[in-house]
Amino acid sequence: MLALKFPFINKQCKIAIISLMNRVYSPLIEFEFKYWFKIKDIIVKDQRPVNLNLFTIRFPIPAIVSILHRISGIIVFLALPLLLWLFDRSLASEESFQDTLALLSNPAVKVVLWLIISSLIFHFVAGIRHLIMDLGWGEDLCAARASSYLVFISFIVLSVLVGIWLW
Amino acid sequence: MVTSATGLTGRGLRDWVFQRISAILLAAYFVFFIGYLVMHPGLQYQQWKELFDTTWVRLFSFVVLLSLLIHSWIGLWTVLTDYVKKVWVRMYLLSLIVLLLIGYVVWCLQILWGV
Repeated sequence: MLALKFPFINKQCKIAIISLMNRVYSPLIEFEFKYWFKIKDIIVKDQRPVNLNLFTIRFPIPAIVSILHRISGIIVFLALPLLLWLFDRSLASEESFQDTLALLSNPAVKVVLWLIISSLIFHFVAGIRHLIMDLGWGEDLCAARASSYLVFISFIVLSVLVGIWLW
Repeated sequence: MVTSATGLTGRGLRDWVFQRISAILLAAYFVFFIGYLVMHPGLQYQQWKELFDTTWVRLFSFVVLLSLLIHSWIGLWTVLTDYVKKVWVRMYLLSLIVLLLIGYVVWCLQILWGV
């Protein structure tokens, strides 16, 4: 009879419920209903599946912009020594300036530099979106989504332009 | 009021304002720097050197450098506070970052004003 009443829970749960009910509520069948929710809460809470796997959660687009803003910021921070070193070499002397130019004409260096500048561009564009939102514009969901797409579009366009400029 | 010893200013709102001001300066410098390079293809050393010998460019660069220190400090503090749960690991990383940033400022002073 219980199996018919609770077809949606597993066997162990049913056994637990039946033994609990037999012990406490078997004389009064209406109690079954009254306490069902309590028992269900106790049992079900422990068995809820935990879905915190970041690879199975579909992120809304503003969330992706947000996390990429962080990642691109970290990339730029990590690239600082390289950029400062290039800046230093380019200003130190005529000779080192020419060396820097020669180094920058190396395709592998160009790829690295392009990745760094692209990260910087993403951080820049997403940062502008941030500042505009701080002014109170485009804070509703629809506008936030639209501006997120705009960030991606301008990022791609600017990165391609920088790539063309570098090569 | 909640204070934080490891954020740059110890106050969330002040950190927030500093982060925005430094962001605007950094963005302006980025546009200036890239814009200059794009507008001067085939740049020569003399021209490049002269640009950074100009007082306002040096000052602008230095102010932006300080902004970079502020901006990275606050930004990385935010990220570390969110993801690194062990206090001592966070302190260690943040100290390392701040020391690095101060090192960059000194380095850049040397680049700009020479030794």
